[in-house]
Amino acid sequence: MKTGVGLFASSMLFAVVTAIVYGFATRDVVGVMLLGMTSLALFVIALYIRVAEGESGLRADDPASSPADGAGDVVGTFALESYWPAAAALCVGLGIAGITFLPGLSSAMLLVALVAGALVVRLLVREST
Amino acid sequence: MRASRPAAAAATLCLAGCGVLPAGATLQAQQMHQVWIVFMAASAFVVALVWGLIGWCVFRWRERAADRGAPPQFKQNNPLEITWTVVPLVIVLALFAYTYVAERRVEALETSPPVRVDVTAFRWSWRFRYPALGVDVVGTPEHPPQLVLPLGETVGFDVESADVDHSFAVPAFLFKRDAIPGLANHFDWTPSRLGVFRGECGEFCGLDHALMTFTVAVVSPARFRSWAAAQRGVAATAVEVSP
Amino acid sequence: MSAAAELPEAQALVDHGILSWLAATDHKRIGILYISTVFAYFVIAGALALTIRLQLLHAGMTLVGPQAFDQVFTLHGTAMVFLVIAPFGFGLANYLIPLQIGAPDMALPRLNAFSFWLFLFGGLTVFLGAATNGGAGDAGWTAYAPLSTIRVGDGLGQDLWIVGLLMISISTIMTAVNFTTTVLVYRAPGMTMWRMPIFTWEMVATSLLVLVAFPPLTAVLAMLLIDRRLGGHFFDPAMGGSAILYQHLWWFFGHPEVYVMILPFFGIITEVVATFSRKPVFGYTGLVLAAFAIAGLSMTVWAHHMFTTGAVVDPFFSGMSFLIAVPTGVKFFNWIGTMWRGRIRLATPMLFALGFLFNFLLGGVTGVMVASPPIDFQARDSYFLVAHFHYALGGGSLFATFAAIYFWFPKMFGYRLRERLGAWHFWLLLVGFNLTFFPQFLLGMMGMMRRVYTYPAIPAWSQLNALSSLGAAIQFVAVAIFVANLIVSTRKRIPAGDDPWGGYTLEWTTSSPPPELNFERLPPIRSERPAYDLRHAAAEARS
Repeated sequence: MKTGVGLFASSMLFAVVTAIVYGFATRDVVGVMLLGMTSLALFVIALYIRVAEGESGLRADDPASSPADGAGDVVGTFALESYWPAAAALCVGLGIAGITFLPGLSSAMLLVALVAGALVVRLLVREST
Repeated sequence: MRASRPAAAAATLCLAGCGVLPAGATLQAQQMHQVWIVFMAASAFVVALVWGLIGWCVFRWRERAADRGAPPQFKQNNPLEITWTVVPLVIVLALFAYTYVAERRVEALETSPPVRVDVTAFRWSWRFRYPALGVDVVGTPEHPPQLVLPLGETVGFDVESADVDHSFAVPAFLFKRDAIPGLANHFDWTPSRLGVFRGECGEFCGLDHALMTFTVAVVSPARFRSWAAAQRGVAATAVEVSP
Repeated sequence: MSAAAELPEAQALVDHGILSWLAATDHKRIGILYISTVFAYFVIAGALALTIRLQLLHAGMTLVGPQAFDQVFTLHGTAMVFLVIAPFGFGLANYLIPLQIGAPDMALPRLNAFSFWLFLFGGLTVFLGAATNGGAGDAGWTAYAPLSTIRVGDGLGQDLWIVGLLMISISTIMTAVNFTTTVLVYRAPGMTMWRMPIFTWEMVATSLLVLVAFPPLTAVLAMLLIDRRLGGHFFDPAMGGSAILYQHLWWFFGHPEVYVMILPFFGIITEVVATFSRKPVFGYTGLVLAAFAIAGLSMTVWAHHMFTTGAVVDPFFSGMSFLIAVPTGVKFFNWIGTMWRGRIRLATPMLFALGFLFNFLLGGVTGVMVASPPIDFQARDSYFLVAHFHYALGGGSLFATFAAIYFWFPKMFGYRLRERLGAWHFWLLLVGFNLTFFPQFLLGMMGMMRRVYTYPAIPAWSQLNALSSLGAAIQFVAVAIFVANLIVSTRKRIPAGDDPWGGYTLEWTTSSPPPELNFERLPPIRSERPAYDLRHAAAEARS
């Protein structure tokens, strides 16, 4: 996953340098904090990719490789059709919108929405992986 | 940028003639006006160049019925690509240097300006106080206040807000400065022309934002002093002064 | 086919009909869902724009009062930014990225669908505010505090605006995660990063920007909600908060956001210009490096929106803003290099691409102008600024949007859009657009401020505003012609075939529309133009 690590590590480096230059040029706390937190976020992502995926090579990154070489590879699991995303989005949406009312009411709404959503899905659907 | 001098002249004539960009009624504004002209000339040059190149491509290499085969399939030219990275870089750095110097001049503050005005923005009008002269002018959207300034003397401004973000804007002076609650903004104006100029609020602040206007009257120093003496201690809303 | 052997038998949950769209996880369907939803929001936002132009037709119009007007321009801006331009890029990318890199779908199809539905609900929530007692959000699309902490009526409208955007923010971050993962992991064998289409590269840069810019948006929205509803004082100077803090947080998100709204469209223009010049992309490496230079620099310029506050160090932001002009210029020159000595076909996608180049240039040079604080002191919050960003986003992104639609519609649906109606659409939109916004540069220079529901009865202002409103009417006609094109083309379909334009990238090697899981057979990938290479290999094999 060299590409992934490279992408995020170099972005992190850019953010760090910018934070330093910005800090000296303007002495502004807010900007330094924002750029600093951005660097941290990018660092976490780069670290994750490095630790989780290591240096594993991809067939894609081999310029001489052909699609035929990849025949039989398990590329991934691609879920075909599912009501869960729409139902989950509805629940999350209701829960977030509920914040506009009292916080307590919002939590109650979220719970109700989740239970209702689960029941609806159960009634309607046969799930495919 | 030889080609841009005629462009600059054209730009200035056009705009001054049409009365589009105010000529600038303060010393600071005159400097900002020059920055506008320089940048418009540079922009005109770039736009003419790029539109010209694109237009040339479409005119010269438009597909015609008699065309056979494929056009030359080149995809890079390193010296050219480096040139068109470095040259614009040099140009923008020059523009930046020019801007930096101009901004420092515009924002220079005199340590003890002869006149001081405290501006307070509120929803939805303005209050102008001249602490040393004991003058206090408050407006309403129906009766906008007037700010009276002496010609040729530097006036130090202190701009604050009593509630939300506003902006103290006078287009004839090519300038605005935000009025932000909790922040005091300072700038100097040295009026260089007599007249009455329109002022507006330059930061959306709610329902009557569009009606939050005021006027600026630049008068001779003598008239200014007599006006201030007459206004001292008098609670004023709208004051009409003619130069 | 690399993926076919391992997948279980596909069993439709529901016969293909309206309900099946609710369960869609295929990236192509989700892309179409995004684009259709975007179009609906575009029509609404456009109607709001027409309302603005009608109210400003001349001084003292009383079509809408200030309360309604404030909601109208707030919803117009919010919708165009969050519900039209940016999501069009995401929707198109959803459709194209797996096809362009030779993948069967996005890495996380259900998360992809979730992102779409949350985006839809977020938009509906924002508009729901209009039905409340105090009306919809009315503090501008930027919702500056402390103004936005004031409650109008029960304040529900502004709160719904905030939570709607919170939903959209989460949705967008999930989308960026999906795009990044898909590009890093699911490229077909031989599809190295440096053989990817420019559009996909631009989407990688865009996704990176989203990942770093949207969390601050989520934060500032949450802080605003806390100030409004939970007794917070983040932005209240009287209680130790800071009004300027809001602007820093907002623009740290807001400036990268405008690049999120242009980078995908740079990608579209690159694909279209190359195809219709019958030449390879010129300066491929330069285009990629420029995309990342723009993305990186866009994180450093946020306070150029704050020059008039007197609270930021102007030269840092001014300098960095000037620098962004350089990679943008590199892109323009690369596009010209692509057209140079080519064979230019003026099909509708290319017309819109040329319109983009024509318009966006004005947006770009006026951007350099307002990067200079002495100019910004006059231009900020005036109609000059309104014209600047409309040239970039309207003249730029909107024209590129139509270029993309005319270019990829045949691939998505298997039939073509009419060229003659397309040409009418283009020319009317070009004329109408420029008539609407060029006078606004002049109005801004003269000192007309933005977000005003009326203006003083100055003859020059009334004349220019009238011209601007006339332009808006012409744009309306142009969009109506586009809708007519959709209807006419759908009624009497002209089949498109796999590759109606002679395209270069992988999507043109599969059927129109592509089958489920995209490719029956992937061609070998040896360059950034696999479809072109395939055509030439076939031609050589025949000879």
